[in-house]
Amino acid sequence: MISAGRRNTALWLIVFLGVLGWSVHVSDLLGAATAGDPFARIGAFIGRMTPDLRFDALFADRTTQGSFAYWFYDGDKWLAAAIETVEMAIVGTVFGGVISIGLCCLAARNLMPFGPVRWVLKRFFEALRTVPDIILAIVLAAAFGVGPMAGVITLTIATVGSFGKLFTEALEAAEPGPVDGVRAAGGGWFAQIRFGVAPQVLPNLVAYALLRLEINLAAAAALGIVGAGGIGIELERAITYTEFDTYLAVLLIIIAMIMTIDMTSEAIRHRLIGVGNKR
Amino acid sequence: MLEIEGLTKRFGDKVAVDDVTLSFPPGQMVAVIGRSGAGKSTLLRLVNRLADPDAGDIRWDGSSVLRLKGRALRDWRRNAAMIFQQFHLAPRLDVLTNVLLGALHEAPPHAAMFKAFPRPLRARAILELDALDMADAALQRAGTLSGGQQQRVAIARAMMQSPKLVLADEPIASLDVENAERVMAELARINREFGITVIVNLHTLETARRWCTRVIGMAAGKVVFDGPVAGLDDAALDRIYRAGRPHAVMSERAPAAA
Repeated sequence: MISAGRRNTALWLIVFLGVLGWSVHVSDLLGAATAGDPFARIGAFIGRMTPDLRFDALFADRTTQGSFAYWFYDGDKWLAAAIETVEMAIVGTVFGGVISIGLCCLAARNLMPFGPVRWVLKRFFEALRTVPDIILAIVLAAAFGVGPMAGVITLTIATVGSFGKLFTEALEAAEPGPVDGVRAAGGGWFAQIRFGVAPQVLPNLVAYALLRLEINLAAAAALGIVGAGGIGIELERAITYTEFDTYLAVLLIIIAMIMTIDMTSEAIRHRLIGVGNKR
Repeated sequence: MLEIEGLTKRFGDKVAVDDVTLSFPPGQMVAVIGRSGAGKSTLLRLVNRLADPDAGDIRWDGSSVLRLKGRALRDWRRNAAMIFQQFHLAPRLDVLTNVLLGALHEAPPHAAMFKAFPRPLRARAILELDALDMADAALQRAGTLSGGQQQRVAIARAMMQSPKLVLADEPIASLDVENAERVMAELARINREFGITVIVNLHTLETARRWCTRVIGMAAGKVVFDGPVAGLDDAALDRIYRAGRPHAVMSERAPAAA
């Protein structure tokens, strides 16, 4: 005898598989649009991106073909643009984080008893998440002019959209006990959040923020393509002038930058949650 | 003097506290006993205003505390200090800060948000901790302490509130015998030294008999016994512990025996 719960689960699984199969069919994932040899084309692209380095001239100056300096012919400019990208990502994440913490305290069920406020805020976060970054960046670059300002605002908006959901859920998952403890001792709303909720959820929020910093970094690199500041403009230029080896050079700078941020954020997080602390 | 009159609280169609009328002259050491679900916790939470009743009144020195709002409500909560079964400290904050949370109203609010409490307050917090033999742990994170130690910190926080009333909701239910003894002794000391009324929810009769002078028995939200410990005879115990549906008694007994 199969229990009703199991039968239901099986039924949902069948429905899910059906929808999945239908989606694969509609999206033409396995269809004929990939004629020829896609992997060979990817290979050819990678071949074109590979710079022509000459072993004997690796460390020569930038006028010598085959040297690193020739490959990274505008290296200092790209590095400056990469640093601008990092700055955009950090500012966008911090602004987004600060705005989100304020709004999420008003959107969390355990902190905001008045339902309509929560409802409006949650729909607002959804709206922010729905707008594609790149569209926003194009509009803002038109409004504020080409430059990092448009990028920072775009990243802030996108960050509020995703933090809105994540922070609200983290706040709602806080144990009610410590909050009751502060409330019963005569603590007001701010005290309940500061001493009842914050110590519980802060490590979570920081982890989210650091992850979002990485996402924003990648996004900031892409946003430059539409003129919203940062290194993206160099990527765009390299493609436009079919300088594929330059494209790879810029890409390597971006990857190095993301790795640096990733390692830093990991160190910060471990320090915060006390991994490796002797106590 | 605390007076409760006709107090009723419903959760859905379950009546947690049912038309309770009680009065507490200052300086009493009172045990509230009864099976779990009898309404003991809800009663204390109503007095502290962590929950609001559906009917009835709670008065302190003649004036109702149910209409209090904002600052006045926070002041009342501070006067009616709560101690919880699960301590309800902030585990990631240090012990001293946890105790100082009992004196938030005395600190400048903006500074308090950054845990910057004035020196006299910090000194008082240390003294409160010292009275409970916990001053050595002042800079430790509260979460690293044992249950008994955490409950003593919670008592220090309650005393930091300079309360007029202490409401202890099953303060020893999560503690081993030795720590339970210690915590009850501290509550009795507070009652004796400061003349503060202490109302303790307990589920063991033995503890109530040893430490308290007055016992209130609750069953299914109603007060079924109120009198001196000596008055707890078999008939009274029967009313407290065997009231209600018989199968509820069974389901209650089974895990206790395990």
